[in-house]
Amino acid sequence: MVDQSEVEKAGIPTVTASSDQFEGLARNTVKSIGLPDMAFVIVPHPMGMISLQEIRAKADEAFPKIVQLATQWKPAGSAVQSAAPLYPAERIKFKGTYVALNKMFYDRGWSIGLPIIPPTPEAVMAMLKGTTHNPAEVVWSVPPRMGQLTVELVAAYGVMAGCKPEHMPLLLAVVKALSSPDYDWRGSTTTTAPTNPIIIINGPILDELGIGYSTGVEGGEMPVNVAVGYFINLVGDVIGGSVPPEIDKSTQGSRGDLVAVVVGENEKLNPWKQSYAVEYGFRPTDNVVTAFSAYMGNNNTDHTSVKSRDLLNTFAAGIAGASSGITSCLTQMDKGYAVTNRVKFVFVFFGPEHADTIFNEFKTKKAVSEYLVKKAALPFWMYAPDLCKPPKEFGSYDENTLIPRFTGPEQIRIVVTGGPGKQSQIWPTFTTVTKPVSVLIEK
Amino acid sequence: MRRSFISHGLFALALGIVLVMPAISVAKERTQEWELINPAGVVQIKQVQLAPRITTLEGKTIVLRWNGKHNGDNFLNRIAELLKEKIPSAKVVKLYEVDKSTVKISGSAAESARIAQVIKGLHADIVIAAQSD
Repeated sequence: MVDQSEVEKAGIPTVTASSDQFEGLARNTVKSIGLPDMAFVIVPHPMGMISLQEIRAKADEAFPKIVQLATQWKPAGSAVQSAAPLYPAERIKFKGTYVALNKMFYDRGWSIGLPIIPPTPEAVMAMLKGTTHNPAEVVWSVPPRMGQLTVELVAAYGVMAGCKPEHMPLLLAVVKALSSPDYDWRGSTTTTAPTNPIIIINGPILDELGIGYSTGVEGGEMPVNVAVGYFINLVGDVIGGSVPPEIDKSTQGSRGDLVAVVVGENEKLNPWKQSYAVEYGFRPTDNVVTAFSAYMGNNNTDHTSVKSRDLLNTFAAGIAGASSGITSCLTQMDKGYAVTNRVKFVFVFFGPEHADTIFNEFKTKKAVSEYLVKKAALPFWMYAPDLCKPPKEFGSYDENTLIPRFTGPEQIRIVVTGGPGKQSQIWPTFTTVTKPVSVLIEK
Repeated sequence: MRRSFISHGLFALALGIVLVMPAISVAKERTQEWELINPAGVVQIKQVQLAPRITTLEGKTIVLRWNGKHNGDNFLNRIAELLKEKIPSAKVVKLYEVDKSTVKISGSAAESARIAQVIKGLHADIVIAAQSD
């Protein structure tokens, strides 16, 4: 819909065929881009994954309506702009118990089902002491609803999620990363896929704020990690409006869409010594947030491999099979989204024990990534139709030919996190993400 | 007499327990007055003009745009056949065959704008697109 809106802006009228299950999202997207309306032909769902005969029949049925809309359609009305000031945010009064307050927030769409800490003006003022930013500053116009997130509201959501004033620079850095066009927040939060934000934190801030990076890092009893993850989804669902079923179309959702995955890198137990942030151009003393939108991850639980290569081979299996059905072969990091360039990088969260075993032979992270690029391959028949089209230079192949997922080491990113145990995780990126976004946390 | 005193005492104790226990076992949540910040934020969207509409497809250049989702091309291929049959004076351009770089979900406003310029370069009078899914 964003594409069609740009066509309208270029002065060319459009007619768009949309499945009925996505009509609500389509119309909402159009409004969020600033168009009052758009000409839609609604086609019975589904359009994808049905036979050629069936889709042609749907086209036959839609054709008269397409012609009618192309030549006779007029928009239903014009959009109404809110005149409310951005700052200060509206104050409301409520009389009731804490339980009733939580119910009121949920009923109004101001929370996502978990309890919140009430954002009283006093609590928000206290949070704002954690930053020198002007509370009126707008730090993000959050898609798809395009709610204006001010620094004051960052503080309010921080309160609601259980953050503290000293977390404000971290929250602002997280917002900066998520709002980058490279992240594709709109696509990530309106897709049918089970996406969730992944946040990786590096630097001295880990110990300064008590951010978890060891045993159970992605679970409970990690108050800072959980609060930041909860903050992210409150912002996305409330200000951003990404709420199921009309806007957030995720077929089954994911738990990371309730509390985002926030991990610290276990820099102390990283055998390669070079943290992710340093590897990508920051100093060891910098505090850095890295964010990307991920499909659901999977785990490596190899308890047997003693040799580095044997262990990496089992990782190769997990990387190659991650996000099955949507991945392309021979993807390239510097190429944009295309049907044949889908899911172009993964993050591997090595548990420290797995990292140690791999380090025995592979003394640099680049060597690890280079090995995995060669080994993370699927037989041609395991790629979904049309997603794997090897170029002429690849040579001849048949359905059993192993074809790698990636072409360069920068597509397999390494982070060491977690505690003792022979466990690691593989997190593939959502398909329209350009690259992971790394942001310096202000002091 | 002593037995009567003991039994009366036990009765009083039992009565007291029955009356007091419910009050102390269920703590009532306190109603209070709250002042809260409305977290919903203000929606601000820059309004955009729709393109002027056309009133006929006769003699027009109709560009068909596919975003890469499964069957979108098959849907549009059939629309192209029907257009050629019913409106033979129209020029039908399958963008997805002319410029494969447009077969995508753009993922960014900049890329959407680029695709729009590609379409403009084809002198399109109207674009028919398939969103699929």
